[in-house]
Amino acid sequence: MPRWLLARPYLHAGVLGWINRHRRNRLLLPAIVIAMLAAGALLTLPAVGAVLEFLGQNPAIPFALVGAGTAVLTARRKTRVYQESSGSWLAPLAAPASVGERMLFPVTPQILLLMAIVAIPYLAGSLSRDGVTGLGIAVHTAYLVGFIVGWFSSHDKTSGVPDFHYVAIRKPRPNWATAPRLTPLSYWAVGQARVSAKPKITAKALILVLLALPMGTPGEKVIAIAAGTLVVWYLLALAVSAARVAVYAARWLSVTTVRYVSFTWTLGYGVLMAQLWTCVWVVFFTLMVSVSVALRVGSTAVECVAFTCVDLIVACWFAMKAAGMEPGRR
Amino acid sequence: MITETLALSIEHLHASYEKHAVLIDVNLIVARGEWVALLGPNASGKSTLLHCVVGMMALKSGAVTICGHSLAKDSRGAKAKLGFACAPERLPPLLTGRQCLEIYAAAKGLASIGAEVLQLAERFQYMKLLDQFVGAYSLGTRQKLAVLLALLGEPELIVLDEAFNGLDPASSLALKHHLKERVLEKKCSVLLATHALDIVERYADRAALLLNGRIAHEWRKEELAAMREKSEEGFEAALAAVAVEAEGK
Repeated sequence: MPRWLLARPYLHAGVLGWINRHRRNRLLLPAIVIAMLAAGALLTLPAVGAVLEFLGQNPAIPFALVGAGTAVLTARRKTRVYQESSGSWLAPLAAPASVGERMLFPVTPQILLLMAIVAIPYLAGSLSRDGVTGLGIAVHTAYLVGFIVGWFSSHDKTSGVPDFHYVAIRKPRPNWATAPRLTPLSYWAVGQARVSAKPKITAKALILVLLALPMGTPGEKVIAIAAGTLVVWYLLALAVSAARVAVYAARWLSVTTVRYVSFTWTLGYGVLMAQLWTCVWVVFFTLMVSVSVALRVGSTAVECVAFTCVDLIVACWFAMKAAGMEPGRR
Repeated sequence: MITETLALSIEHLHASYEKHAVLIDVNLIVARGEWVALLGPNASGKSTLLHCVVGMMALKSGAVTICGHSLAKDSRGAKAKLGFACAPERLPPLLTGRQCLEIYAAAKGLASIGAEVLQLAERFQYMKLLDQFVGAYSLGTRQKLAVLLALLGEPELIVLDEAFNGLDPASSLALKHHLKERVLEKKCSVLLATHALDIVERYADRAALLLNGRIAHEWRKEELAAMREKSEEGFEAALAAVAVEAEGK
């Protein structure tokens, strides 16, 4: 290992971690190479070239997409790097935390990836010289702008135990000790979804939507899209949290005799109620626009709730199965 | 006591998790060559205090000085004097024990891993597990690695957070003897948060009780020695009495 790397424990540990990951799974590196070759082959297709040509002639679109994406990723990464620096096993060391280097570490492969996306179709002949110039300038400028915006939008330098939250729990049931129920399982999932839908987190995703403003989209449309994004985000967060909590809870409760139906029902009840409550409000507000819009939104809401039901049923089944809980037992 | 003779000085330390105050006006000193035990019930703020000492948590106010280096103004100078056994679950699962030791030693600028640490690893019967992934370790084995990392580079202040949890009796005894030897030779000071009262009775020079985020009581070396001799129940009864009295206030 080079000396400069040895003096930077975070980078040193990261490099060794990657080497070990490969040692543990010898197929990992070949799989990555095959996936990259397949992606490269896809980029040579004329259809992909046509799409990129369109983007090259309308550089505002790739600029907004790449810029917003980079800004969100950079902001998230910066927060994570600072949290790691204060909570890591390496934190008590007097060695440098190498925040800048750790931030810049993924930049090189990301820029190479963007260059490949632009260069491969050009070399394959499916992208014109004008297209490649427009697209190249747009994505690389957007990457730079996005990186700077993301860096300055994240101020989470506070040192503390990561993921530590004191939460206000709703009023406990008076008979929680004399008649215990599984109900808190559903609060767990809803609580997790609320954490992922906190304004601090969703605001970063909304950068992408707000970038539509300088592109000439009317303000009222942008507000509507932003509101819709928040709702969809929350509904998805509920569905994802339900699946995640199913896995954690099944592992935790694997030594108990809890049954599949009651596990799934209790976990899902709160999640579905939260989704229905949100959907009812959305439909109510869209009713003010028009009945037909409300009907369309309503049918989408029903599909969303149905999707969560399926998600819950499948996730709970597999989670219990993985935890050795025999979900098929009656 | 002048600063040069202190391994650790904590002055008017306040710390909180968001709005929840965890440490309130904590004052504590650890002299060079002294073993101080930090006691207190669960959730009294012991781990938070140690995290503040090693710079893993920001202080709301107050000052921490390690061997004359202010943690706020000269963080690297302070941390260079420090050895901290992190919580076993924070160790990286994808690295082997040997790689963890190597990284720590390289980051501390050591030319080699000290013979004392390797001897302790032998006494821990840890050497045969060096090339296994940390992710495959048991709690006790992770604890051994965390302690070995803390002892690397002969730190002047060793901070341990319930470091005896999960250790088998032989390893636990080996560690107690090792720490005592280091302290007696004036090589270092130890600040240990623990629930193990036998360590306080037999090994610690001083003990402090943390209750609800405040230092509620301190026992000097002579008091600990007197308690060992006089009381049949020893320190356990004395601690319970002080805790009840402090809660009553």
